[in-house]
Amino acid sequence: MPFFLAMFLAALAIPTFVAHAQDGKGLVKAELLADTTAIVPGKSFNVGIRLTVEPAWHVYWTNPGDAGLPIRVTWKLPEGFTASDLQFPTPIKFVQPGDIVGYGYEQEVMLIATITAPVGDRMKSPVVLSADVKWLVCKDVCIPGKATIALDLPASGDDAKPANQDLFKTWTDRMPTANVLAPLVDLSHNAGQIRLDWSSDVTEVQFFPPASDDVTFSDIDVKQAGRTTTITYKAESLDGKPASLAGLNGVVGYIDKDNHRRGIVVPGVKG
Amino acid sequence: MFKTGLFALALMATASFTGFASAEAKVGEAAPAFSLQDQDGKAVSLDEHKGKVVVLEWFNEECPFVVKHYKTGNMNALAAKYAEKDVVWIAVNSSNFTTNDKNKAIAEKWSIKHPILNDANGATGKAYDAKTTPDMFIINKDGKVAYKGAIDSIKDSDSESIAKATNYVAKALDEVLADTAVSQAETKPYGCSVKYK
Repeated sequence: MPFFLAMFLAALAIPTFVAHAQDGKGLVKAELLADTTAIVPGKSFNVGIRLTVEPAWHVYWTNPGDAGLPIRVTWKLPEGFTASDLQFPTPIKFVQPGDIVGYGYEQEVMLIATITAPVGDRMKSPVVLSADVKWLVCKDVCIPGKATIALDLPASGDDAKPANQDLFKTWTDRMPTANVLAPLVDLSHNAGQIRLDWSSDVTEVQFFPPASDDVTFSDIDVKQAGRTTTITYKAESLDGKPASLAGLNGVVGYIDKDNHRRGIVVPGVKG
Repeated sequence: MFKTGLFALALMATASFTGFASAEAKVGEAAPAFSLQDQDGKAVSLDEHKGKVVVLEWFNEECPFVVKHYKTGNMNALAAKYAEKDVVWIAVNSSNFTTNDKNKAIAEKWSIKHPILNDANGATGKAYDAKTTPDMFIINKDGKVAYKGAIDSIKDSDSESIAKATNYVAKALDEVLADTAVSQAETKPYGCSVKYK
């Protein structure tokens, strides 16, 4: 009887909790993958944190935009292992009612870091790599989610083979590049203006301003004239004064002629 | 008649929208006026609280960042603490799906004593340029915006973050009440996007 009563009460409570009943874990699947089959002492390899997101929902880039929270990762690595900074792929932009701009990912994203194994031949096998991942997944509502993901890899002297190559290539290619590589011919950045010259046609050129607690970006405008893109923006400190962007790197995203999403790092300049 | 009514409504909506478009709430400037219904259907305006310090809290009961501050009792405790110092605390719900009844139900469920205003058409939210929940504003006794931004310093929806965070609103309120300059008058808000229609 108490069981049925509890069921009845639970059923009554459902309408109130509809929004919270979906948890962020069911909407986002997190996995940890490596680009190698084994770990060689002293060598580096890449690991990917892949999030598969329920259609129509999104998760956020390092700068989430007007609202939202970036995906956050805390590594839990065996002693002696080090991780590089996490790379976030070039995001997409979504505009919600009220002109609320967000930057992030739909459907799938993989963040990549380089892990370096310690030198020495007494590594315990298998090696367990693990990370705590937290995200906010939003559609009409936002739901926080988290997961601890892990990967076991054998420690090996020399028989490491590449793994998950296609996946790593797809997402490595989508990481914003700091070099001027085709189809980019030239990049210039002066206070409030970014100019890009291209060697082939590109579409959907967008500017993704860097995450900052102190600087607000507004009036972002992208003009395309043939194979030249001119992006203008306003960067202000919270007190309304022009801001210096030294150390704040933005990203310009675009779709190349083969229909792939790509990105370029735009180093911040002094205001 | 029905059609005319709709047309008039549309006109009114356009008029109020364009009227507010340039009136974004800026620190040091007059706070945009509003008159909206609370959860009991009673009109609440900024005008009626002239001469008092007013806190506006952008609200959406489905937003985990708002939930965090209510389920821990933090928001009600802040409102109660400053009510003793004659500060008026007002929540504004600019979600497109909000109704007085929903606000009443959530006020009862979460023991909220302060008004939750129904801004379903979003005009007041846009006048303040509120983008997230909970976006916070403090209006001083002269009716000017004294603080706008985040509630606290840790951008997280986890309850544990509250104790570790600096509460910007409490800090600014203490300064406003002490008639000293607000040391941090603007911060970047964080949270869910306001669910405008």
